[in-house]
Amino acid sequence: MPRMQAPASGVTVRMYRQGHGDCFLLATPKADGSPFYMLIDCGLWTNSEVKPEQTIDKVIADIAEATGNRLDLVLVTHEHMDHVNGFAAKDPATRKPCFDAIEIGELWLAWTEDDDDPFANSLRERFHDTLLALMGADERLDRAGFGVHSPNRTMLRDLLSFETGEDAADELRERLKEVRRRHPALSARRQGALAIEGITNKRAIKYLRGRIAGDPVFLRPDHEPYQLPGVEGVCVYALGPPRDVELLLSLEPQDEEEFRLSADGPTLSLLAATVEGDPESARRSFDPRFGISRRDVERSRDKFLKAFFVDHYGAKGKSGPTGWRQIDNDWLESAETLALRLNDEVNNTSLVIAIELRGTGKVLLFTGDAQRGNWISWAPLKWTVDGRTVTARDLLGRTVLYKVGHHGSHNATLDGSAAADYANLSWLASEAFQDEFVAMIPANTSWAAHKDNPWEHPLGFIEDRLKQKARGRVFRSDLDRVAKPADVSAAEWHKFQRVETDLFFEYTVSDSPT
Amino acid sequence: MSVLSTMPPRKLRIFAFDPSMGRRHETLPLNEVIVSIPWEMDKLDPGMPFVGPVGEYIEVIDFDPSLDLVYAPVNLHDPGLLADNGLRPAEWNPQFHQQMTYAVAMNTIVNFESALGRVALWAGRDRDEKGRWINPQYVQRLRIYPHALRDANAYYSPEKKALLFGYFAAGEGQSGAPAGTIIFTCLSHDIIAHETSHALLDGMHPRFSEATNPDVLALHEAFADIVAIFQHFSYADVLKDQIARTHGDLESQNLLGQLAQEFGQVLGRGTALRDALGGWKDGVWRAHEPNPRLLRETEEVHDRGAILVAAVFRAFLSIYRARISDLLRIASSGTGILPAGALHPDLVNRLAREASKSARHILQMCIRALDYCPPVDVTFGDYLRAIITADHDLYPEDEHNYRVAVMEAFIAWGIVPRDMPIVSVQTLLWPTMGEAAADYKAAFPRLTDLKGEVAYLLSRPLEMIDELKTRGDFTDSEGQKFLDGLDRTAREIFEELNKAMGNRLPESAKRPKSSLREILSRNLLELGLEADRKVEWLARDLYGRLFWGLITEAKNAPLRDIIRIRTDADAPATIRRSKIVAGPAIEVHSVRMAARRGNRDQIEREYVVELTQTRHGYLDPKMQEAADKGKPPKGPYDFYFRRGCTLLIDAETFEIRRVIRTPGDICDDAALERMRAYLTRQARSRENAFTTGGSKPLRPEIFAHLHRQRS
Repeated sequence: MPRMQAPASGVTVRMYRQGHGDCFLLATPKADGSPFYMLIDCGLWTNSEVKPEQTIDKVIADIAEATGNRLDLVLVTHEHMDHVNGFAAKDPATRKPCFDAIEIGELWLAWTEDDDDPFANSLRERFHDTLLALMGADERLDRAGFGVHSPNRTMLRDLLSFETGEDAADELRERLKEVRRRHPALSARRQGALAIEGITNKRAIKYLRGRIAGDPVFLRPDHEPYQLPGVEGVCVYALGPPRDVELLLSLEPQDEEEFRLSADGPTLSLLAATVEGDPESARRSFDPRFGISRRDVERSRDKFLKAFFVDHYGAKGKSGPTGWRQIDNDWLESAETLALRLNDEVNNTSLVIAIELRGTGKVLLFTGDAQRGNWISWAPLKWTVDGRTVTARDLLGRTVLYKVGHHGSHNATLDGSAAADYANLSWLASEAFQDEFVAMIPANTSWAAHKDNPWEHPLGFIEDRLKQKARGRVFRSDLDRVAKPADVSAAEWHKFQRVETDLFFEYTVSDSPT
Repeated sequence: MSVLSTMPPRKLRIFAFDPSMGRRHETLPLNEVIVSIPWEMDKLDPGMPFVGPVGEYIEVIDFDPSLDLVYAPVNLHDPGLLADNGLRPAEWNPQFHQQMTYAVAMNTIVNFESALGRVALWAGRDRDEKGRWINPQYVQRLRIYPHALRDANAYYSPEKKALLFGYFAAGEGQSGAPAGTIIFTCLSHDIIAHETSHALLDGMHPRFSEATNPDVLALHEAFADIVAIFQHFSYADVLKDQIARTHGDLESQNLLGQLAQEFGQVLGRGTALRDALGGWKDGVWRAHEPNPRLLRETEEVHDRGAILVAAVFRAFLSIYRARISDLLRIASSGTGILPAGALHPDLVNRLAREASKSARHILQMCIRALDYCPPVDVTFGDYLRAIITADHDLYPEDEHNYRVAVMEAFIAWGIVPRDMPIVSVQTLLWPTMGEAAADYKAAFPRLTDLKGEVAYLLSRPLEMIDELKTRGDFTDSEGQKFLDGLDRTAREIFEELNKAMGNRLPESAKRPKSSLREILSRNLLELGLEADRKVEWLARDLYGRLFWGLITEAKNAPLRDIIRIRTDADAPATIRRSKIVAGPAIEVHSVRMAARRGNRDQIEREYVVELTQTRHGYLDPKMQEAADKGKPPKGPYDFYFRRGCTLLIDAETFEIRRVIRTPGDICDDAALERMRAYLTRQARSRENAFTTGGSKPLRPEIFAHLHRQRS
């Protein structure tokens, strides 16, 4: 494979087709004429390959070759397996990280990764608590005899995999055990934090941070546009993640008080019951004199209590005539709701960037997996650049390339009208910019539909809307070719120049007037 | 026995709202109230223990699975408790939690039964351990688990016929309770009443948990809130306090119209979970202004439900205002404007009486209306018609203009039946059989014959069974099974009645053969509130099947046409077919009796008969077309499309008084398309980014998903 060429002007985007996961390599000319290479995310949901031979190792090898072993910039949108686990991938032969061969210039992360930001830190604590509660709930289900394929665990385990980056959702549990063994004196919360530090998603970020010379750049929407080092004529605006807690976490507003991001009461209650290590008093709801353990009731000499309980509720593990009304595990279903919420919250911490080409004003929009709250936060954003005011709405209106959020799920591309007061699909690519609008959907639809717990990615409705808007110019990683719609003329289609290979699609947004 | 029938009501203490009232000095006097439950509801000898409490309707089983702990059941017949109206309110004592859930749930059941004039039954168990459909089995008691979940959630489980209550620790920085305090949803009067109402409504209308249009589940929620809110008005001390505090103006902010104070506050809303009267915006509380457009713009179930609650509350307020206008004039030398300062306690008492009467009336209207709804696919507009018709049939003269108040309030909130050109108290009445026939243009010549047959069916069930045995159009094996089933149920009724009546059956009744005839030669549904619930269940089922026999008779085809039940052989193949007779199936779920006391103190009795038909629906119209033609695609259908009709039959004259139909019949593709469009829209707006199950209207724990904290 030859080196990837930067276009004469503008940006070339290489969309890898590994499967359910994001990996985008961008090339743009530097002022000195040499190419500037930028990588946005590198992840793949385990076993979701579009083609069995197109593995993540192969993608990384291609990145090395295409860039001559040097990435000027790596940008990570958010900490989900399908966006970061490539950075933790190891060469099976040498057991060394695959990315070791590639030099990395700068690392750009969302402000939520900044250890010096108290807001970000409290957010992280909330995520940790929630993650541990989920892990504990899964463990309780395990102990109750539910297999990993049982319907009440598949969703929970999928979501745990997202958050941890581990194929096996039990990895975190093993780590926690290990931490407890090694550091028995630490508080339960500290032990949890230590265990979480060891999970793949965290190791991926840590690895990247170790590979760069200085500190990462933490992007925030209230900061002036960022410049790519050595590149002129390209500006990067951070649209998200929002600093507004209500939008970030979709929490309900609370009087005038300052927000505390600690996990909420219900989450902590679940945490206390599922994860050992907290003092007994944190789990209990009544003084010890009130409760009698079920075992003691079943063996009790208090014939009356025993008969009452066994007659009405039934004995443990025996279905009996009243077995259908038992509630042994219903409480653990709260975990699924909580897991979905955590997943949404982490998606909402996605770093969203608009790459503006200064010549033509065209914009490439990469949204990570930003969901509703993140989208809603964009409308009021504005920046002053060289004396002119740039609003988020301008940027969206000039968007000609849109990386579709969250594999095309419904709540990661807001639908709405141009008249709406929040950012949505109709705000993208207005007027002449629509003639050039293309969309890229990283997804493996048939794999997602046949999982134990199937997902509809992309949602047919969103994909249809995108195809309509882009007049067919929609790349989907699991389809070898972008098909020409019947109502598009050959002449129009011919203008849509692209490269389609088994491993990637390549498309160039030029910055010179046509 | 004789002692028990003269026992005074069972009195039990509960938190009037929830424990948060006792934490504030100002509301401390509102902390506790005592509810009275008629002793005959749980006919238990006071000398014997009453533990759990496990009674006739309710069983409280206090097991916390997250901690694997059993909390010993309270004995309400402990002499110390009997003498002191039960345990005193105590958050720290699980036995008080048991008492409170029992007492509030029973109180809710009492309200229901007195409005409907019959015993309440829970929905039958219709799935076995493996989730397969079975014929509904009688479930005697609703189960209550006071400590089932560790979450800010509580729900009614239609699968387990149980209420599951959660608890959780209050987070930091909340106004409701200090951080770390455990909030028990089972100590909230409103949450218990709300969940019990879900269960009661499910017992009457199991198909109202199928989300076939945006109103069905919203009605479930709204109804549960209405019951919880209007029960507040039956607690005299609370009511008087609030009347005094608001200066008699219940339109200003007050606790009566609010739901789940503590729960809402602790979840960071800083205020009650829901408020039928108004809400806070920018630090100021404002009354809701009715907005007739809001309903059209609102899809979320609770938000939609809140609109219905606001409309009902508005109707209540206008009735209350009308009822107190004379009192206000008397108390203000004719001006109607009360002087500033505290109200005279006598005036407070009188205002409270009027408020409580108005509330009771509105609540009864809302409950009775449930008998006047179509059996499936109900809308808010249908519910308005149901309220108006039910009230009209009981009180032909609207002396206090209650019906106009309800109609006006509903219209103000934009709730009107679809496609109704003229909305008035008259046009809102559901059609009579005569009107329905006339509109169908097929004057039904046999209405008088039909009356005779209905009378025969209801008063001579055994003879009706004999007659069915002579039907020549039944299939061999299924037809025989059906007939055997009738005999079996009749025998079962006899045995249960025997059991219920103990040895009180006359000596002659002890010869089984003749006594079976004897017992079944009278109308079992007429027992009303005296009925043994198991017998009532069996009788409803038996009469339902007999009615099915009547309606499927060939000679009744014109009747089926009028009530839009389709039995033509060439109807779309997706319509479920009968196994017993040729053509599409008709389901008759049950026949129940409604008994109410009219304004001349006469007892008005009606039979309520519900008929439905079911068709398999596909989200893809092309698949639907193929399947309708008998070529179903591989793989399962996507949803059930149902249509149906409720008939109200006068118990004296056996005349079909009201015909309440869903729009369109089971062959109506436009109605099917409306439902498909709704399901498609739902699938697109669901919160969850992964699952595809959102298009299925039937979910096992539908209420669990609705009630989870939406944050």
